Amino acid sequence: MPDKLTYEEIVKKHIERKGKTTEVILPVLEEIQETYGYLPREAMEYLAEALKISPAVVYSTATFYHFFSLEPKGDVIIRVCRGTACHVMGSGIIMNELMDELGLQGEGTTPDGKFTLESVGCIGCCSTGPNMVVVRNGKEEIFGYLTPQKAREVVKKIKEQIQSQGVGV
Amino acid sequence: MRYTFETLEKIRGEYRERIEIRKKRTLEPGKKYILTCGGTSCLSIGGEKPTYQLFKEIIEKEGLEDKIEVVNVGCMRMCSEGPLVAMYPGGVLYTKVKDEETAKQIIDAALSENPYVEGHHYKDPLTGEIIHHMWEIPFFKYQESVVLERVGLIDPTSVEEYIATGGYFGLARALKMSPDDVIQEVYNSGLRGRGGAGFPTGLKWKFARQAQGEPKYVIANGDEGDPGAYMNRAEMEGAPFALIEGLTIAGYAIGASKGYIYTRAEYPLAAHLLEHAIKVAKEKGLLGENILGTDFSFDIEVFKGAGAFVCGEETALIASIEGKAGRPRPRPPFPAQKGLFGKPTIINNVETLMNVALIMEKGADWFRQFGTDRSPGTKVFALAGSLNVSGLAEVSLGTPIKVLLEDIGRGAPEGHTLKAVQLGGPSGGCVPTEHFDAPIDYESLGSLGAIMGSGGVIALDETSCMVDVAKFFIEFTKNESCGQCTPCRDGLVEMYDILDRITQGKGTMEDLEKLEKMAVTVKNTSLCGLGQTAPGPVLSTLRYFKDEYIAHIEEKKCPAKACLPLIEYYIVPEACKGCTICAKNCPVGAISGEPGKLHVIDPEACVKCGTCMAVCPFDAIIKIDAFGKE
Repeated sequence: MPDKLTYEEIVKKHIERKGKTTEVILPVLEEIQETYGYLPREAMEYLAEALKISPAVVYSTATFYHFFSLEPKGDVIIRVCRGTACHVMGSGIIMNELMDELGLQGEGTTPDGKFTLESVGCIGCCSTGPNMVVVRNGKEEIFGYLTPQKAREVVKKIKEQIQSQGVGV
Repeated sequence: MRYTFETLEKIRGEYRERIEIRKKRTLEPGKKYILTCGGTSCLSIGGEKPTYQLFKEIIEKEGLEDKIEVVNVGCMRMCSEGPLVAMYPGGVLYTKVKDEETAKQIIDAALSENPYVEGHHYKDPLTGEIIHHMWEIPFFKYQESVVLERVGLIDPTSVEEYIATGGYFGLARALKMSPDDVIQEVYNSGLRGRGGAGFPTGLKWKFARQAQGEPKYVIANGDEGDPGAYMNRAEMEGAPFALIEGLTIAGYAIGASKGYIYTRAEYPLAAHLLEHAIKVAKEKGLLGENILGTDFSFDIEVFKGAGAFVCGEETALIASIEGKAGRPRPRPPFPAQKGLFGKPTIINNVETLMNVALIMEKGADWFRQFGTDRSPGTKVFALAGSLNVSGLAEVSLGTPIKVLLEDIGRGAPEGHTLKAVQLGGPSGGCVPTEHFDAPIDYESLGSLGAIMGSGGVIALDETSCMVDVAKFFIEFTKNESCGQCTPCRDGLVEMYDILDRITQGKGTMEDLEKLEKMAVTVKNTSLCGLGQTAPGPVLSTLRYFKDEYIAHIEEKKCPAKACLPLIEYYIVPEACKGCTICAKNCPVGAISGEPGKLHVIDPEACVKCGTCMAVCPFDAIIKIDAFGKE
């Protein structure tokens, strides 16, 4: 990824724009999450220090929202939509199928750190469900009208690509 | 260049033709417009390249720029038939356009006398008729186009196209009126909040205008967290300038200088298009300092939520912008008195604000011609679930539920029968078929045990288990509870446990009583809207579908055959041809049998994924009751 900012730079950028206000907490954490794939402890402490607030305040926010993760996520993130329409169209079965393909017992990251499987709040493609979102290199791709076989094939194809060309495809 | 009142008129004149041609219903010679749907749903089911790019590349390669112009527009509504492409003049609608080959055929057809392409038009599931023109398709015919008129018509990145449809004339008119008169006009229109609760918008604004404290804030609530609702996303993606205009009018009316658009992290395209629109609006003097040359200044910022359903509640949303965990606080004081950073703040739903822009442009009386006396205007619904055609549908309030499901959505797919509709998501309820005549407005839906909510409409057929649906929503709200107040935090967990037991065939009749009691307690004693409405799905299913609960408990049977612990997959010996397809596709190797001979599923090994049933070419695999045996 070009011009990847460090967490110090991200914090400074937002404070320069908005001042030392707690309003920057969410946008800063979001950008760190997107850049690093998770929220490193040092980054949260650095943000608290810069805003002159307790790290507990930042930690409280960081652990409240689903979007943030305190652990590094896999190179490829698969988010299965858990919206109502997807549920009645069988997203639970898709989830089971993917757990089986990835060798996971539930949501989480594979031991090799390549894949993270999680559920996501409704992505709003309800007419084309069940859906899943695949995030790779900061790019999101949505797959609709899934069947268990189709979901498995998508993952298999990604695995093949990783094997032959590395993650950055 | 910064716009003034005069430039708005000039731009509308210059761009009008480009827009008018896209409304023409008759085929005409001359330049063609191809509109490609750039909505997220169409992108999710498209091919390798977005539809817009497919057309753009062919047109450039073949040098057809003078004959055809391709415009990437917002959601074209009929998502289940996507990716969608329309051709004007004429309004020919092409469906399922995924590859270069089809795009080529459409371009060739559009330039010929016969603009139709076989296999890429809407086929009515009830009559079998192939319908080429958009306005003749029942899905569109029964709809109104008020808020969605621009979505799917204009390029969401072009402020000029937005102005050509009357955009920014609402703001221009408001700026020539006093703020109090603007509030009065909105009040007179009878507009009520489109986020679900239905509070009169004009009244909310009046409170905020009268409240003491500076600065004041206005916030557009685009935190559309209801699973099954996506109208706000389509609205923000398709007409971002309309939201910005509505929010700016709100700012002028209450005396605010700063506005926020709070949207979800799950909606990256909407956030991107809004940020682009804000930048353009600032360059053109439609936002920022001295808007349209007046002394009114106003700024807007896009704020992305981080995946918490409760942040749709206004006080939690405020906490979230302030950088805190999104926990609601008791009201009063209402945000109109003490909101963001303790200052007077109004929070309006995205669709409410888009209506405001139209009301200021066309007047309160124009608005009142739609809908009912107590619920004027239209509402956009997201149709999904067991319907032949699904997508976004805008109808006048007061329209019967069955118009949405049967006339627009064309009923359940062949072989299925609707048994209920889920309205309003996790805060709403399930309404059974016998009430499909009921009009959709705030009061009638409330009396049926559902709510308008933000507008999610999920059709449920005989394969949906109502206990499972209730469990699904309670699992959702249980996970989304902020954990602050006891009834919601603990009550929902308790309710979930009971529902989980029932769906496994382990529930008792006492459980059922306890469930109902608990639901009423959580409803009456929770702090915020999330907890107060969360029992809705349970209470409404208990009201209309208690027999399904009882079947799970007393007979250990799931009538819909949806609860996995209560069913088994079974191969009907008479129907099995021994083709081996099921055995080859079973992910766990639970099916045995020799080619040409009967196959058998080992229930011990079977994970009940349903793959075998889906792949069997002879429909020989069925679900049977397992009567609770493990």
